[in-house]
Amino acid sequence: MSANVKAAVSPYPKKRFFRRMEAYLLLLPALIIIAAFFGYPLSKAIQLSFMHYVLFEPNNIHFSGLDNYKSILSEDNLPGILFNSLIWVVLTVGLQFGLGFALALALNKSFRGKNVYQAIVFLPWAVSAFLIGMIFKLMFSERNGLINELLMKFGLSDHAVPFLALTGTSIYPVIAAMIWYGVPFFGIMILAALQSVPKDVYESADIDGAGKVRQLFQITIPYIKPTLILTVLLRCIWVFNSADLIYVMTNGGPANSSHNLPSYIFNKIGYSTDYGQASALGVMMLIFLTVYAVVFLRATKYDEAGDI
Amino acid sequence: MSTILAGCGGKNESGANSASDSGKTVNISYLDPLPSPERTKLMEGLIGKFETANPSIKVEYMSVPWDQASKKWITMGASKTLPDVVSIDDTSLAGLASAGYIENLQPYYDKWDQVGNLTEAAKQARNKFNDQVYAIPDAFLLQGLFIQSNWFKEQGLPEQIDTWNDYFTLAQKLTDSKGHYGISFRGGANGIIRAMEYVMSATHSDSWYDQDGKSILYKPEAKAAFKQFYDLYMNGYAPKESIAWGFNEMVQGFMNGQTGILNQTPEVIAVAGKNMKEGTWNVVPMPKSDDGKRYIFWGFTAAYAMSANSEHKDAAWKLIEFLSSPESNLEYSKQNTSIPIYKKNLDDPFFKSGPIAGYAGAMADSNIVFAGPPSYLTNLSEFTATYAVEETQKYMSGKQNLDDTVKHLADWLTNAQTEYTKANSSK
Repeated sequence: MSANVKAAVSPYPKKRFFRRMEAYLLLLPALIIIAAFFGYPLSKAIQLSFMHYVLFEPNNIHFSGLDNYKSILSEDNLPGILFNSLIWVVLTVGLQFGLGFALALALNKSFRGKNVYQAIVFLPWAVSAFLIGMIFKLMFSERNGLINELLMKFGLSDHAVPFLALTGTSIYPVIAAMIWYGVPFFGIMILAALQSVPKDVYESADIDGAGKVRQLFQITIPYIKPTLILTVLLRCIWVFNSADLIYVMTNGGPANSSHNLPSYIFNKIGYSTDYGQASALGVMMLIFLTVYAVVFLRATKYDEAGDI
Repeated sequence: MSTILAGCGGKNESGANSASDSGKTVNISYLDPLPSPERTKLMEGLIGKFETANPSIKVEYMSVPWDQASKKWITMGASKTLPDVVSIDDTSLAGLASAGYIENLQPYYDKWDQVGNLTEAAKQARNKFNDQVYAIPDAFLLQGLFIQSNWFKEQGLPEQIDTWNDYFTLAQKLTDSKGHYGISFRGGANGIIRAMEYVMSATHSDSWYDQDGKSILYKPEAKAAFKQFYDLYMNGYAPKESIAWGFNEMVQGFMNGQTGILNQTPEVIAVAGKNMKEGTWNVVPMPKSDDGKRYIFWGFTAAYAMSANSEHKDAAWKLIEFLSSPESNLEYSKQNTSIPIYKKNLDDPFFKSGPIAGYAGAMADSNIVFAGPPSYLTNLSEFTATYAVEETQKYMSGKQNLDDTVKHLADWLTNAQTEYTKANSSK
């Protein structure tokens, strides 16, 4: 057998080479795109994070070792900003997920006018974040803001509250806006997953006498678990990286109390033009998110998800 | 003109010249950082006239909101995509010039036939970097106090604010429990400039630094003035939300009847005129210090600069020259309610009456002292837009005491000045 193969292959060495390299050659365009659009900016960011690189000091650009990381980690603002980033992600994604799930379950039934209703509840997803920021800023404003009007009308407060000017809590109105903004995303994703669950599984469960709650926890959730895990994973990363609503509503203030990590970077690079420090913060964010993604996938047993 | 321009440029111009000489259309772009329906119409009108006068040049009008303009200039400069002509402010000029993003206009300026007609203020404007002109001021803005004159009438107060003491007393008097506050306070970006304006006035200083290059904030009397100024907010004479107020919020607060006094520049006259009832408001000059002088920060709105990366520098200069011509400047200043750059334009009846008259007159006042920020520092906008905002907001919200706040600000400014002196003495 081996002699036959050898005899058959040896006259066409080029063809054999092509056969062996075929997979790599087919992958090449994708690899080039990844290298150009992902690899280059990433390596540039890592390189900049080890340099003193302030745009307004063009004659003073040099390798500075770990200086950027040291100065970031020794910054007084960092603990507060990391804490903000944490509550920003946990509260936003947690409530978006809960409300989105409820929305998807409600829309997974057939009722009159479902399509119109579906279009309306998914509308926030199609609105620009800047517009949403402006609207919520107006709603929470001390003067003529809807929230203050309601609070005073129902006797819950005897004076207007300057929600966006309170150092301890100014991030919460922004979180409220962010939750409103992202519920449709979970709704759409989970609804699509729910519609893929075969009806006959529920029919069998009905015959076996399983109630609606038991069906939800033992059939629906396990069945759509891969979607749930991936959606939460992606959404956490997006929300963590998102800064636009903070920028519009509070610009991180007052006194940095509503900054998360990306909005802080945005401000830092915008005014100080210190690309070195901003890149170091960016690299730190990349490390956080990579660790988070690995731990999250392990903890949720993503590999085994979907087996019921 | 073409002979004048021939001596001014490098490689790029020759290409542009040949393009326009051969009848080809040259496309240039202009970035306006102050878009509003009225201003956009005005700028597009001026550009239209320019295009009629220069059929071989087409100008693309672009705009970016003021609050994001600084970031936009830097980003576009770094990526070499800055439009051929761009209006920039004086706090960003040094940074953009030192980074090489904007062109040195001195060669053009030296040969410009309008230099002799400029006002003294225009000649002394902070439009230079290393003593070279990098931008041509569009028009001047200086501070004035907008007042709710009907509030004054109700309380039987004379409609004037002579001294800073009057200012502080009125802030208290105009505040009541019905949601009226004395002052439209600026706690957000650039709020420190308003505070320093008073600190300079109280300490009779025409600089943010003493002769040794140390911040004047180290002086005990400066610290006391700083405290007195921020007490306006701390004592409740300004809305709580004003801890984060910038330009828009301050103006809105005044126009919607929340605040009684607004320290602002003359372009707000047009907005107030449109949105407030006639006779309910007025503008009075900035208060005098106890030495009888008015310490006021004045500067250009946004000067015309040229991208260093422009491929059509002669066409770009033609546009700058057109927008800066006496005719365009008069139209621009009148519509924008700002102070023209030419002596002759100040004689126009428009600047002789109404709220603008006070501003125009102040520019000729011999008792006016320029109390502007050290705009030669390339990192000044980092200070005014972020560092000082954080520090003063910590103070206003009770998270940091007065001593630490003033010391941090003084240290930052002193370090920046030391770095600047070091860098410039080694040149």
